[in-house]
Amino acid sequence: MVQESKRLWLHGLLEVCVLGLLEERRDYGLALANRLEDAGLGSVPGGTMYPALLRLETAGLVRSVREPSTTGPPRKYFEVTVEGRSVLAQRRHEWREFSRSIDAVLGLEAHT
Amino acid sequence: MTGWRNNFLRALAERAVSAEMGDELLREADLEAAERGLPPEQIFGPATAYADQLARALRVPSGSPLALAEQSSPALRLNGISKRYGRRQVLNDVTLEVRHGESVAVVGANGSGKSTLLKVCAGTVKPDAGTVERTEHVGYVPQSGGTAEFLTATEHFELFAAARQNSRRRGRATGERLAASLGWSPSSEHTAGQLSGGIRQKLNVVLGELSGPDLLLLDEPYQGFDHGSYIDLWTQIDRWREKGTGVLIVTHMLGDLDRVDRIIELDSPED
Amino acid sequence: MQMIAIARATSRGLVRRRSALLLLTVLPLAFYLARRDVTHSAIVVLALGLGWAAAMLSLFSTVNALELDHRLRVAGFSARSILLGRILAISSMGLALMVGYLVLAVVDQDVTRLGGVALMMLCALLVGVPLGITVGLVLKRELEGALALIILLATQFMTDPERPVAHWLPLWSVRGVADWALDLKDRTFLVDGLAHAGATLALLSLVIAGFSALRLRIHRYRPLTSSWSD
Repeated sequence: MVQESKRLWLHGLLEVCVLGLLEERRDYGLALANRLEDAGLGSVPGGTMYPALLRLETAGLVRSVREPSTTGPPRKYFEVTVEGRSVLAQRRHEWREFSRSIDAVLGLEAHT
Repeated sequence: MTGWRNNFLRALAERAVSAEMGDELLREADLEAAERGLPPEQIFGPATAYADQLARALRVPSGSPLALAEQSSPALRLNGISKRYGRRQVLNDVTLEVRHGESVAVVGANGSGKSTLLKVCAGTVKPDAGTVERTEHVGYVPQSGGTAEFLTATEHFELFAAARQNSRRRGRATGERLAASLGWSPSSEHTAGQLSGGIRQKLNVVLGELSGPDLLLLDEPYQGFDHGSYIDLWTQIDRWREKGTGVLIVTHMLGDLDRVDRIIELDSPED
Repeated sequence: MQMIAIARATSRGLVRRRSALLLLTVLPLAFYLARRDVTHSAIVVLALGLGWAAAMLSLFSTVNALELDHRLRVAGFSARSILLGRILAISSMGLALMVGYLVLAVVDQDVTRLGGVALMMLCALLVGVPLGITVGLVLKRELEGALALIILLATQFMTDPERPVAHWLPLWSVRGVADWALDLKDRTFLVDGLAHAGATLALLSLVIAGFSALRLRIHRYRPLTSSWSD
């Protein structure tokens, strides 16, 4: 199915995407997965999402906070750190260049 | 549900995650499962695989390996090494250099003398021609025969510590720390012969790096490694490079060659 | 100290092989029980059995460590410490067995010269341990080594000690000393026996030293300085 190539690409970009989402708004695991799905990137299982969040946390790019929620047990929220923001800015720049190159190679660039 | 939780905790412990951290991770998994009203298996997948991912996520050092200092001194220099066994010319005029903090991969077809090359570097095989220059303090991880079948991992650490006049306690502590970097928690009960192939090979690798050598010689070090352990090993190799250790690694896994600084190819044996 | 560490590790590894150790302990006992009614024979075969068990023990210990020894050398152990450490471990086990058998001989048999019986067993050990190591270094494999030992030692049992050819067999000294210790012949027999043991030990030691020196060499290299030295 078409989903296979998306899944492979997203595998390499997952942490960057999550970082981007968290910069926009702090959130918890399930909600982040939903936001990715809404953006058309397919569903990311918990077994993939949580290790990715943990990697970001170990690297110091995000931090986690347990907050009591109105519905049920306390929820673990993730928010981006100062270092996370700086790394994200760098990755944005890298992605812009990278995707431009891919576009060119795939013949998607408008010829001037 | 009980089965998943047991497997989860067990898998974390095997991967050298502390008991405290293991309990916390389980608590979080339980909370998540409670919130979503689903069994953990459905949210996270099989317990062992999930534990493996989390254990490695806890170990990840951020950032890419440091660039090599421009002019670090050589840790190994081979010049014109040749070796023949009977009628087979196994090595033919091989010249290479490994600097401190550099990783070099040796590739080549089967029978191209890769293991023999490492033995020449280690000094256990005498070349017919050529010179060997190297640091005195070398660590060697052979392809076979590197461990004693009837000794436990801990006993191995204690033994190898004595090689450089280190105490047994220090050997144990260092061994356990290095094992943790490879995601393994050594048991003091099982002898090497009773360990699974991948774990025994991790012991083999740890013994090579135990004394903190200046030059590390690895002969196809990832026999029996799963993908996660393979990643851990390359992370460890990067750590050695940062510490200034020269690394020479014989490999047939050509996929990850972009992780080394240089590649040497040995010619196939002449017929 | 390096040698002690090797001895300790060797002992630990050997002690784990419980069934093998049990069988090796039973070996001399089996011989003894077969000849128990004749004092001279009983103690001679007990001592020969001890020598045989010691040889087997050192054969397997040597063969099992052939590849590991190279690695130990590269790790920094001296060839001497590897060799002596192993000998220390095996000899200690042999001595423990010897004490046990000595007690058995004294309690179960009519023994006049206790010291003589002890010397017989000591000869068995002094020859058996290096014999096993030598066979291991030369043949490098367990089955071949075990067969070689069986040939040597079984022939030892079956050859009349009076015949000249018997003097060429490694454990003849046990029989030689037995003449003095058990048959109560005069001192010259003791001296002959001890001399044979001494000569055999010397010869085997030379072979072992030579083989080990060659095998465990770290070939010459020009040293480079480590990056952290000035």
